[in-house]
Amino acid sequence: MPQTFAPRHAGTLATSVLILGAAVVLPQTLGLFTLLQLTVYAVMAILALSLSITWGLGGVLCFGQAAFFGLGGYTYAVAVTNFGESTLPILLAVLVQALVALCLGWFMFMGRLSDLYVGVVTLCTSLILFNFANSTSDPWYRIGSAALNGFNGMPAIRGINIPFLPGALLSPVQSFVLTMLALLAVYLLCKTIAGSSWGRVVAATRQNPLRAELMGYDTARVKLGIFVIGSAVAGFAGCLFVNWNGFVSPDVFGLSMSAQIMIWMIVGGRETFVGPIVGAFALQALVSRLGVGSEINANVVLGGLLMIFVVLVPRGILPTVRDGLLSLGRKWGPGKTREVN
Amino acid sequence: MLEVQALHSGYGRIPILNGVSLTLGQSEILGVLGHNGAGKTTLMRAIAGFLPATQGRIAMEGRDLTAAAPFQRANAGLGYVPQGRQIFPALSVRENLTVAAARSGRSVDEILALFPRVARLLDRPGGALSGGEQQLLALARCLCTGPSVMLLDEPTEGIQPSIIDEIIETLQTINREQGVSILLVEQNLECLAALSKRILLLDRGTIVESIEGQAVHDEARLASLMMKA
Amino acid sequence: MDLVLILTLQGVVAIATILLFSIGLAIIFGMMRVINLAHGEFMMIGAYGAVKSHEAGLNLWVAMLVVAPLVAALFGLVVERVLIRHLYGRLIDTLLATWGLSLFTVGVVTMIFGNTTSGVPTPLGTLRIGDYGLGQYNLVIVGVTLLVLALVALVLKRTSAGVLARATMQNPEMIAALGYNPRRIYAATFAIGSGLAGLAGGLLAPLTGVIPAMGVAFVAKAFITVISGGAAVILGTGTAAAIYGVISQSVTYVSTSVIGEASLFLAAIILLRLLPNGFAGRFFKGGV
Ligand SMILES: Nc1ncnc2c1ncn2[C@@H]1O[C@H](COP(=O)(O)OP(=O)(O)OP(=O)(O)O)[C@@H](O)[C@H]1O
Ligand SMILES: [Mg+2]
Repeated sequence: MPQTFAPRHAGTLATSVLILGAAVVLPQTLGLFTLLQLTVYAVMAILALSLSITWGLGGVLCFGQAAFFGLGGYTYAVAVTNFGESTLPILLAVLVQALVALCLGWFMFMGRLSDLYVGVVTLCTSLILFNFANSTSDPWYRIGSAALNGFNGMPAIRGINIPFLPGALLSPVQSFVLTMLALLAVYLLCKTIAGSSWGRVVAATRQNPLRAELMGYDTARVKLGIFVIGSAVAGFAGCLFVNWNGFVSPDVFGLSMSAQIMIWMIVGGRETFVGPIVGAFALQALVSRLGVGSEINANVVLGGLLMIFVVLVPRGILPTVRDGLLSLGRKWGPGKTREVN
Repeated sequence: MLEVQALHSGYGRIPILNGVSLTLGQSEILGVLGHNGAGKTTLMRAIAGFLPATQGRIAMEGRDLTAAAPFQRANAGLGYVPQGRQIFPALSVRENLTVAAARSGRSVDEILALFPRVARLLDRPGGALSGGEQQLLALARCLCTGPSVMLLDEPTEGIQPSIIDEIIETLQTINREQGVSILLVEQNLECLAALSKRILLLDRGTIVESIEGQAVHDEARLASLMMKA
Repeated sequence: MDLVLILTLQGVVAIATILLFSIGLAIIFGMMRVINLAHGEFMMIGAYGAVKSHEAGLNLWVAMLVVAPLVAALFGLVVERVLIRHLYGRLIDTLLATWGLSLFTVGVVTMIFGNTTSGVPTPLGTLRIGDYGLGQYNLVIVGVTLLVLALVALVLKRTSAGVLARATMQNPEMIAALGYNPRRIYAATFAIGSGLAGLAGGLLAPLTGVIPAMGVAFVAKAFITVISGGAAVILGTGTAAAIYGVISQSVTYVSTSVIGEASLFLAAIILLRLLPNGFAGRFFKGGV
């Protein structure tokens, strides 16, 4: 049994240093346009990590991760429009999603729904939100001073400011640094959870729910816990996304959003945390390459990759490469091999 | 008829069979005895093709079947009646039989003549039959495919004595009149002794004894062999 | 009185439409335990088959009722060979891979036909009931749906292929032990399910318009209907379609069609909590 999500301190340290280094060095070397692009890639990497928590680590098949992402975006947008300051709205984006996930998760897991049904229910949730958000064009749909605007979306949303200083809005470069730091924080959170004793219970529940149950763990409660954490992180990503975009529309709840998250995860490798980050960065870069004046449709590439990976490389790039290197190392190298993470 | 040589098999990477060899002759009924977990069902499933052979060879009438898919083995004349019977619960008894006969072209009525108890229940759903009736149905269904070898995995498990006698009689008739060879996994010593002239003792995935002649009827010895194994 | 009649008719049409675009998926799921998330794209391919062959001069009815299912069934055969057969027994992986297939197909069709709506005119006129009107074509959809259901039921109940199909649903391993090649059965099932999806796409093309992404509007609803229906292809899926059709149609009547659709998903969430094995698991054990 290969140890997945095991805390490899060297690997964690290397990844952290890499993210931190990028946050410090890149603003000095790259142009504003590239930095803006990298910012949204990093936001999506956080989103990918949120699904890593829910599905990769917790085994909860969530087809509607976009629900929490979008709701996080809307929560932030509505709150920041009303408060004119971003500190509390960020907290709300996280807390509201935790609460929503708690209610939905209670409903699903205490009912002991099977994996497939959890998938259906989360999918339905995101579609309900999609439909609902689309039908709020009437000015009657407003929360405080924030009008929801239906399918037109909410324009000109305030960005993040330095905590409690409404006048000090972050510049794009500062937003980039903040997002990279957030990515680092979420990555470390993932690692901490996976390395904790509770994280091992979560992993045991994913691998063999029956055995975990017999060992005396309340698997429903365990799944609920991991679902709440993953959803809260998705809400956080939604809030960062709106900060980057200055705009939010019902598309954040869409099926293609949920599909993309899964694709990043599967291509990168669903049993690691670095994999989804790499997947999110690499595939978004690829798609934006294709986007400009190319003959090839981005959907063809994403869909094709998903099929190929599920059938041929079901574990994704990172674990496959890592195990390849490890076995090479075992074959050629003397004694202990360096571990890649 | 059926030849198994040094067969190794198991579940995933867990090895269960460690080199089982046996030969089933024309019209022979060969018994296989072993305590719970000895690997009897694993052996049957490997022969039927549902578990891949990691080593060894399976052949029928000289034809190598080691790599054949289960349906190809069935078409080669290998009938399999699994432990737990596995009849189609929501199909009627008649449908359970016709679905098997549709491929071989055998007449359901002819086979039903051997199973009067089943013939009375044709319109009931398979799942509504008692365990004994289901076992008879499973045997009849297997016969409908026109097998030359039948693999029977504990056909008397959990069945009341009067029906066990019926099963034994039916199997003897099938063996005598149609010349079908039978590989019979059983824990019921009486049943084994009544049907087979030769019994193999399976333990931890290998054949440890072959019992022939009068010794087959020595239940006390068989029981003690099984305890020792 | 007229209003009651027209609302009833609209309800029947809504139910029939859901059933029509779910039945292919239901057959594939019931037989093979495979969920095809590219189901909407099979419909889209059928719809394009109908539109393009009609544009080439073929009679519209032939295009919708014959070409559409044939094109989709052929596509289904290829997909089964290339993709699905690697994934039997891995339910979640089939979901993911067919999700990929869905994106892929939409992309390819966009590259070929462009991201524009092609349409066929809605045949037949309007049925007037007092002050209200209903497209007569809607009644054709109801008729075809009933016909398809009757045919599927007849085949499953009365023919030897149908007995084999039901046996495979109940115990595929035993079917192999009786000498049938399960892969062949699965390939045929997948092609038939795909063909029915194509038929639905062709028939609905005049009502929805045809664009590469049209499948998205159907797949979630079909998926939910089939899962709520459970293992019984006709009874289960039929019950689920009836409930969802009535709910979404009533809510649409009092609000908007978007909210009506949302109410369908909400109803699904609640239903699945109450009946985790679908209607089949509770009411139609072993039925078809
Ligand atoms: N699906 C499986 N995966 C892993 N191990 C299995 C599986 N099925 C059986 N085993 C193991 O294989 C061994 C042999 O099992 P098998 O079913 O062949 O025994 P058996 O002789 O038929 O026993 P019984 O008399 O209870 O039917 C047992 O140790 C069992 O635990
Ligand atoms: Mg056994």
